[in-house]
Amino acid sequence: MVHKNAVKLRAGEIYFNLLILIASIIVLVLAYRISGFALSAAGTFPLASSSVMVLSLLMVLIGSRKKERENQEGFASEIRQTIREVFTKDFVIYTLLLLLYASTIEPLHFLPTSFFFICLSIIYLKGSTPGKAVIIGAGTLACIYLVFLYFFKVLLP
Amino acid sequence: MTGSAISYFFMAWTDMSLLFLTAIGTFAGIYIGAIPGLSVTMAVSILISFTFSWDVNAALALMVGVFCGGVYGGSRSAILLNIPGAPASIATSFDGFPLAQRGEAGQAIGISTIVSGIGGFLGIIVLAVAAPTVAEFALKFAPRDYLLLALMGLLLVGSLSGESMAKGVFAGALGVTLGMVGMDPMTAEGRFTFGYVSLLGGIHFVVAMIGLFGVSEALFQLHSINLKPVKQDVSKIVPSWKVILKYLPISLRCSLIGVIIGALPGTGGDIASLMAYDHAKRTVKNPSRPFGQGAYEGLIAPESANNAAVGGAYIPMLTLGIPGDAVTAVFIGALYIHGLKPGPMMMIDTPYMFWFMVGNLVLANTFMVLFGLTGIKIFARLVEVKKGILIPCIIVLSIVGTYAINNSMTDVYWMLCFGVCGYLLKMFGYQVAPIILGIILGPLMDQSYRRAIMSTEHNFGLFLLDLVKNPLTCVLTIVVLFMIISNTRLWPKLLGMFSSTKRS
Repeated sequence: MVHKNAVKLRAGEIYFNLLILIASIIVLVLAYRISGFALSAAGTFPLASSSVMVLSLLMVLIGSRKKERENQEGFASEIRQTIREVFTKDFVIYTLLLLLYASTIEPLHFLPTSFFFICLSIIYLKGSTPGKAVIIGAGTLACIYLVFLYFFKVLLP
Repeated sequence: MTGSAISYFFMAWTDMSLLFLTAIGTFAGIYIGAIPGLSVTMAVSILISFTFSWDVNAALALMVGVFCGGVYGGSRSAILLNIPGAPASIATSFDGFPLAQRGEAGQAIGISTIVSGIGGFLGIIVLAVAAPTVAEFALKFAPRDYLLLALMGLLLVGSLSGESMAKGVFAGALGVTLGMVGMDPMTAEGRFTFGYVSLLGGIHFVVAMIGLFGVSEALFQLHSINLKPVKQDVSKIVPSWKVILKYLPISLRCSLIGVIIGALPGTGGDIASLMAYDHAKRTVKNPSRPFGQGAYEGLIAPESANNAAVGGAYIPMLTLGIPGDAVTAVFIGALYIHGLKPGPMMMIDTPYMFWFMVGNLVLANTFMVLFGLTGIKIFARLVEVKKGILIPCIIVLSIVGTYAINNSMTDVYWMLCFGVCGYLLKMFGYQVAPIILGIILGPLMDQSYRRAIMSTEHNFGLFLLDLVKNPLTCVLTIVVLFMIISNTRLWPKLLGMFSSTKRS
């Protein structure tokens, strides 16, 4: 999936570029609504930068017309390949775990949630055995707690 | 250099706590740079949030150490594991790993340490000599010149860092747009705030940095989680004088390339090392072995250049307030947070800070050579830390770092959002470094443009005329135009036309 010299178009690349093009056009409209076409106002630079975003994406899309697609078996097959390669099982599960961790920090406090997050992550990513994961989790948190609270003097979440 | 400048130069050497912090920073930097998955930019971004409450000298001592150590450290994993620890070490792996395969890893690490030190010192010397002159010259810069310089930086990083210039330019423009979020400093008008008061303060650039360099990188690493490193034998490390003297000329030449590339706004060690490698490949007639098969010249060139680029990147950062690369973009953020304003006035108002930083760089470079030549056996084991352990640690550190900025969980959610977006952008061939440069340079460009327009009494025609009337501005305009045209399809046609007229 990670190409050094992307001669072929990655699966789903065109659709991703189209999506960010739509988002960029929305940003362009929002930028226009700040102060319209003014020579020097609060909205001038946002309008300029969002126009560059739209134009550069158009250039990317025009350039991609000449490239051969990695997947040439139709829309459904390309989307399936994109999900397989970009939204991998590891990525989806880990991002969900990450969101769960971030959303439980406040109600359950930083230390227990981080401990469970580190242990679960190490076990899931096969970094170590469950027993060692608990030891690594406790050790890492102890280090973070001591170093950041006493050396860096920052508040932990 | 006056008496007080000398005392500030040696401040980090004589103050035990600063000496200790620089040593710790360099030591940690070498490991951070070497462990694949941890990058200097990531570490320095996270460090800013932790060193908020510190004294500026202490914070800088630690960060400079991490920067110097990290740029060098990347070479170790490039040699030992064929995985560059940092983008600046990509070129090192071309010949470094073949050397390790021949069982010469120890010798390769030893030589890379020495030439990194040579490059680093040369970069610092150029910084100390050139920066005061550049700053004096920069006082003559008008807002339009700053606009052009910032544009130049963005175009450079955009065109060189990714697979296509259009994608690089998009990333830079996205960064500039993100930098616009919040209250307009000139009219106090809200931009992209959607009526939310919390967005009036803008998106903190450190939040974006940690998300884009920390979390997105961690998510990206999930793809290579099962990559198994090859074990290496490292015994003989310190190279002989004969070897050092033999390779000194090429090391100096490539260091010079490193300083120049580093000093250009927007380009840093990664591009410097690739260009130095290319230079070595083209100029060395009889390499010790063919390039790509373990030529010492192919190892020395990028290693001298990437460390020399550190000193080079400091020049535009301190004299113009324009980052030389992604790490110096983060450094600029750190200086702002500590109440310093990088730019020509900084060299006049607070020259002691400049000499403190130069002295600190020399110290960090010395520590880098010392630590580089010792403890390689333990090191060879440590760089093999499994990613399954590393990734959760990066995530927890990123969250702690983001929370520390404003003690706000909203920032953490923003950071995670940047992380996921950064991952998606990377997966489809977009680079994240131009985004950060855009966030830093966007507000500077906005204000420079509006000041320039104001000085022409809102006459756009006069503004355009100003871009070619003044000799300095004219040169900058030509460079910017050249950079744009040379990346379009018009360029080969123009070259073709030029050569056909020459022939006829």
